[in-house]
Amino acid sequence: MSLAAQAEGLKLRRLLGADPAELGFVNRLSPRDIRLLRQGLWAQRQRQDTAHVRPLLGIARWLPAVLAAWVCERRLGLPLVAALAGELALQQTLGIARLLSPARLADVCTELDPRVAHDLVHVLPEAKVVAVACELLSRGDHLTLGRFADHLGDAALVAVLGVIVDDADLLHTVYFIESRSRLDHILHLLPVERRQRLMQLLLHADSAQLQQLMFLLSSVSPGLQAELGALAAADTAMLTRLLELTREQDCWADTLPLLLAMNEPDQRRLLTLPLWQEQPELLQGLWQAAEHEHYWLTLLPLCALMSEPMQQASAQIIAMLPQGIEHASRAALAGEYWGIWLSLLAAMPEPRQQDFARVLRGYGEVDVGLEMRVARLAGPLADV
Amino acid sequence: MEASPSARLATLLGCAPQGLPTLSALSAAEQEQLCTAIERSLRQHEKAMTASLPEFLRPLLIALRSRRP
Repeated sequence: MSLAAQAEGLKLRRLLGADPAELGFVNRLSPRDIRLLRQGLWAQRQRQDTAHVRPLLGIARWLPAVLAAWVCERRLGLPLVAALAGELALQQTLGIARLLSPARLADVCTELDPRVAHDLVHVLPEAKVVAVACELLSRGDHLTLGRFADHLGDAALVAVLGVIVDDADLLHTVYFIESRSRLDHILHLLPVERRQRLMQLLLHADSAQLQQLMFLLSSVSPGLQAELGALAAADTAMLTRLLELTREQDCWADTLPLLLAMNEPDQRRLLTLPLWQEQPELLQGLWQAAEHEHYWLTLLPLCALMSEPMQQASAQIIAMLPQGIEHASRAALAGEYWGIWLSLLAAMPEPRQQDFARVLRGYGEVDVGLEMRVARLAGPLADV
Repeated sequence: MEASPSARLATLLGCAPQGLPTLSALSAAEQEQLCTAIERSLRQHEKAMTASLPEFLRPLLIALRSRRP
């Protein structure tokens, strides 16, 4: 179960009005499938709402904004106001929204179809945006705040990020940002010190916050992962915590991209932490993730940064993976990583070395020169 | 005969079965439970929508509806 699926599951449960403990099994679906369910539900709600809203549109279109805002603030129920916002012309909705109180507008945001929210929130005046953000923050409604922030232009976004003073609130809000591609941009809008403080949450956050932080780290681009990874690598306690967390949450699939995006000195620092020796299941998780997530090509060269005992332990684990020999050999072939792969093979039991010999003979049927070259590199291993 | 969970989900969400998410990671009972939660949520939303309209506007709305072709 991925961290992204957990985030999507939370959003779906909230939309369904389900208890947080209810429907936990939806997290087993892919994040894309959970999102499709949520979008389908929004679309169906909108179709249902049309019957209620259409007769009112004729009146609403002719009402002056002041009067329409008064009706929306005082007379109409929230679902109807949100549905009206989706049916009226954007300029008219904006005219009404400007006159609503931040509290009422915050209410509307919780009910607003994300497709409508995008257009409306984008054009709301900055002062109004900040007031609504403060209102949502005071209610602890990070989910709506994240959805709201997703649609803001840069100036409004910077203003909103500025009012989210608490790092845990910021992390919680960012966790609910819909678009992963926006995450990078949002984090780049933060001062470096703020990004540093977010990373420091690793050391003292509760388990929910840690899950959010891991999600964030696994969701940003490789460039930003490298930067955040370097911030963590500057502090051994932070790196150790990152590893502990990966084991606790069983989320190697999410941590692996972060490890791969780090620069070499940081990768070396991470791979030589004493925790690897103290908790052998960590290494097991790493290679299993490599197998499931097809990371052989990027992970195999990292073995060169490992200590010798860790390389030997890795060899034993790879030898046990059903297709470990075949997949690692393919990675060695694609990346010319024969040196490190052969040294791992040397630490494996003979039957697995024979498996490799068979794989190599298969390559030789296509490229005899390659087979001979690898056999030469293998030295005594070639006698197997 | 009772509809399969995916047919039920397609009806609930008003979309073609090919537009549905893949639910095969869930057991049949879990799929049923999910459909029930979606159905309940849509019903509650419908109720909330009806309740959103103030009493004084209801006669007007009925009149407007009856004038529509």
